Amino acid sequence: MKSLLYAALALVTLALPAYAHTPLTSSVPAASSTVPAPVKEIVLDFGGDVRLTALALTDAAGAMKALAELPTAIQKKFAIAIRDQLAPGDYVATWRAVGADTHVVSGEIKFSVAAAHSH
Amino acid sequence: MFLAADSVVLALRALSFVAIFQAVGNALFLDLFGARLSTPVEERVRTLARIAAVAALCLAVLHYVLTPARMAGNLGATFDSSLSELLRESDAGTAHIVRIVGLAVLFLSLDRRTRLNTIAMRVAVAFAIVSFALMGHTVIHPLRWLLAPLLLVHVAVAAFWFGALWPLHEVAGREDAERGGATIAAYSRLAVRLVPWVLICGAVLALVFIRSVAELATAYGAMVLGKTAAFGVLMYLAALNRRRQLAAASAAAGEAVRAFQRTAVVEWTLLATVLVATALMTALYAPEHLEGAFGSHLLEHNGGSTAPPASDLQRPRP
Repeated sequence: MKSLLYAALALVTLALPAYAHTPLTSSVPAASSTVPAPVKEIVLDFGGDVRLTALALTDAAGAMKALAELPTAIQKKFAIAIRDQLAPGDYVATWRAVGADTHVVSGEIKFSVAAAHSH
Repeated sequence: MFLAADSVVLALRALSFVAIFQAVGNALFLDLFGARLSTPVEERVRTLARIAAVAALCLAVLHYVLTPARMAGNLGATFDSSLSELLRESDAGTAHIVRIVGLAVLFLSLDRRTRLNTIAMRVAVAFAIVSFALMGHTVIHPLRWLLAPLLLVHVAVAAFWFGALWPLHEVAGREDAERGGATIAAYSRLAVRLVPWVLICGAVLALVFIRSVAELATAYGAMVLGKTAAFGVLMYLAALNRRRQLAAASAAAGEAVRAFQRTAVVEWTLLATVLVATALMTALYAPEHLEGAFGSHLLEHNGGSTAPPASDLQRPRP
């Protein structure tokens, strides 16, 4: 009886859908890239649907740059507008997202902004 | 950047692992060997089990409530309704609920020994153990049909082993030599047959998760190697303890009993350390093939001077 109960409960664990962790597959600006000014948004593209729960953009001095509010929707691709103008220099975008399996994924993207080309 | 929220939630996760294993193992000990004990010792072991169960319940509830904070990396997001909903509707949410219900029933069923309480206790133990296989890396793995049963055996036997050490410490110190010796010997006979399954199941789990020697160099691989090394030390201690158990069983009391108790304390401490390390590492790292390749980590490496405080992060619209 005891064994049957434990076996039945073990079977419950097999009846769940499977998920893979959801990685960030690409970003704009890309990690370690140098992009010309102006940079007006940060685009994060994930391997599957996620909820983007946090995003911060800081310059080399650690000063925070204003970003648009994050959507609460669960989606694969996010384009978050940068409200401040980015001067030439180094920046770090730090993000966190939650996949359908509620696993937390986070990371940072370092990039540089170069002065705009004059014409 | 996410340090405060992560520290609190991961600490709760680690402590809840220790408390759950203690409560479940203690309950299994009572179920298997309670009838052998004198009434005062059985009551004491039962009280210890109830304390462990209520501690595990409180920690599990707190962990569930604060999980949205970790999702957002900010304690202020604890009561974010959309994150709470995301958690509630996920496998992890289901696992948390099963665990909390199991621990609540376990606490209530440990009140006193009756037939109904014994049945409820077994169901509660099953719920608590099964909750481990309802979330985590086994759930997202394609070979879940193989990994889930292995994990259940791994967890159940580890709980039996870990949770029995505290009761055994009490039995050795409080029972008379004949009754205490017989109980310890009975536990030891069963443990010798069961405990190797922790290693066997753990090894198969590791083989499936870590598919090449190169993956041993990853954080997840290092965790598995660390657990294996710790397990080796623990098996040695368990073997040493078995000799002392037999000595304690044959001697009236005295130094053999004290030596047995000391080794049980060391064994408990080491196992608790392994549990804490497992709770932290499985939350922070995943097997390489379940993990993304592009700048994606289960926990950030930042926290340096360039990172803004979590409160400055852009938050989702309510």
